[in-house]
Amino acid sequence: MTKYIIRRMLISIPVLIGITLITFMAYNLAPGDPISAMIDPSLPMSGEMMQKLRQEYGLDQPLPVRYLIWLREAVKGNLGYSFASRRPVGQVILERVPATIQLTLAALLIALALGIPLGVYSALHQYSKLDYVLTFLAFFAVSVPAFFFALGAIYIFSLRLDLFPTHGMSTPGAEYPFWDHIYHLILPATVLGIERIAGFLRYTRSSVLEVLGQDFMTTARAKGLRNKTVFWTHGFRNSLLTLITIIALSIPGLFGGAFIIEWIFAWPGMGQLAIASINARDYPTLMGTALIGSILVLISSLLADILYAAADPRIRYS
Amino acid sequence: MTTPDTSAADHHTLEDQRRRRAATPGRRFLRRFMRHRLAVASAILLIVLIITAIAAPIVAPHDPLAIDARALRKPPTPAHLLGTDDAGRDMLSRLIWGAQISLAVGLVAASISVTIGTLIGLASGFLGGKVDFWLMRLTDVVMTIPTLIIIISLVAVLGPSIYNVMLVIGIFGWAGIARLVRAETLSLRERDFVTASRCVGAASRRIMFRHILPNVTAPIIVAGTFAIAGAILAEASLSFLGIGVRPPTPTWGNMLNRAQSLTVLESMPWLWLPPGLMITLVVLSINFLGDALRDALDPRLLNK
Repeated sequence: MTKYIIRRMLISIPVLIGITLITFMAYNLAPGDPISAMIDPSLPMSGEMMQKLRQEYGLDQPLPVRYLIWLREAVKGNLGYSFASRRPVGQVILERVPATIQLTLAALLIALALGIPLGVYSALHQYSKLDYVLTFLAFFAVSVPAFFFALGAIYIFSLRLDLFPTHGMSTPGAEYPFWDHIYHLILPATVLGIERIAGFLRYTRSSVLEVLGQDFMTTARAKGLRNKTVFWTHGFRNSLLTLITIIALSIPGLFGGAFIIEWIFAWPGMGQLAIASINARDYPTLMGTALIGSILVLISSLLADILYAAADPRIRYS
Repeated sequence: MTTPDTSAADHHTLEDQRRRRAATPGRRFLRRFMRHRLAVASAILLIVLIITAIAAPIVAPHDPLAIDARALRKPPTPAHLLGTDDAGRDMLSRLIWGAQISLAVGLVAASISVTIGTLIGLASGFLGGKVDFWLMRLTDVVMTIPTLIIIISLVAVLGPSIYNVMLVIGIFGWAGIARLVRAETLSLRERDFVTASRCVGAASRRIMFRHILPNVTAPIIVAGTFAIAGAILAEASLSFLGIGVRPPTPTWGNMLNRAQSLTVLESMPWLWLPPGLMITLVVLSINFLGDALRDALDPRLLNK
């Protein structure tokens, strides 16, 4: 198992380097310079200091050297200084990360909690009316643009029905801040989760259908076990494995979607920061968000793969 | 000359065979496709939409860019069937012209993705070894970077323009297609006709393009269809955020931009419902179409 983990981490390294390369190249396309953004704006600048800093940060060096310098600084945690707020980018982003993780996790949980049972039901009652309705809704959920769905949800649930708040993370002066927080979280998390529900539902459905047709299921039933035991203990377990892969594959999409949902609901996470930085032309922050976002996705993929290997011994030895 | 056998039991004379239409793969595909009623309806809808988009100059009742300061944000009237936006421009015309851009971006971006993905998948699957390893790492990188995030970053940096949008969406959408093509190539590589070609001395490139590629076209078409849907959604998201195609050029995404204001959202549904519904309808149709294509082109059901 440890060997597998180490092997998996080693494979992640070129991917990590690739991410930094793409982010750096994108950064370079922006007006300005990744390295000049690293200079602390609060320091008094004189001509001499500028020269010294230029040399130290290698602003006059060719591109590959500047990449390595930027990388070195990034590893130290120095992602430059935000143009908009004059604070170190790393700090600004770190403040926002918990909010994004909350939203993404909540959305994932909602999608799983609804998607899997509905998928199982759909498979067990194949071709029933509910099955058709669910399949159609699944198609629908994948086709609606996320932001349109979010706007529609705000329109129906916040403005017309007045069930949920339209924006933000908290109401000032709320009595029970924790529940108030959850109250604000429900609508954005559900909207973000809806698209994923469709994917999980269809996948669970087809995976369960496939498993149901297998020989070992007939054996289990022949042994005289109750249908419930046959299904959950023997059949469903096998679907669970592929489900982990599906979850892992949906994480990048979930993060990307979170950006837009955060912006629409003014949820103060990384995504809202990124979009705000675009409007403010704050490239260091924008690139920092892209980098950190990608790294978070990489880490979750790694964890998902390790989980998969823990669940399915065949993977460990391939 | 033998007289044709007229016994009632025998229906397979040569003449009978010639008279019955040949069951070509094309005809078989159409038969299976027609069974998916929803997909046929979707295909018709899409064709109508494409024709409308191409004929936009003729079909649109007004000039989509014409500002009318006397009719700002007016609800639907007989003169402006879908109302006007905040600059007094006719919504219906903008909707029709917007179809041009959304469809164009979808097609171009998807073509770029399919081309890159197919090339990488073929090379990776067929050549194997180090090429395969590094190309797959590259695919991993592209798959791991949250697509929307990097697309937003790049387009924000490069500047909002329809060409940047097409290019960036295309460049980051090929990962799934590459994986698919690679898997198919790997299995086809072991087949006899490939071995035969190698024995005759065909170069790798020739085998890849002349022998393997024609056999993977079916899954590529299906994947390409879904890629178009994804590209349309991506362009809509970018334009909505303000970094895709910019006003006054109408695109369904940037028409929805206005809805970020709660006033518009609550009391002026004609400003944001039509473009949103159009995007949903188009993407839904494409998804139905792609699903039906996948069923109809599935080689495992050869004899239906």
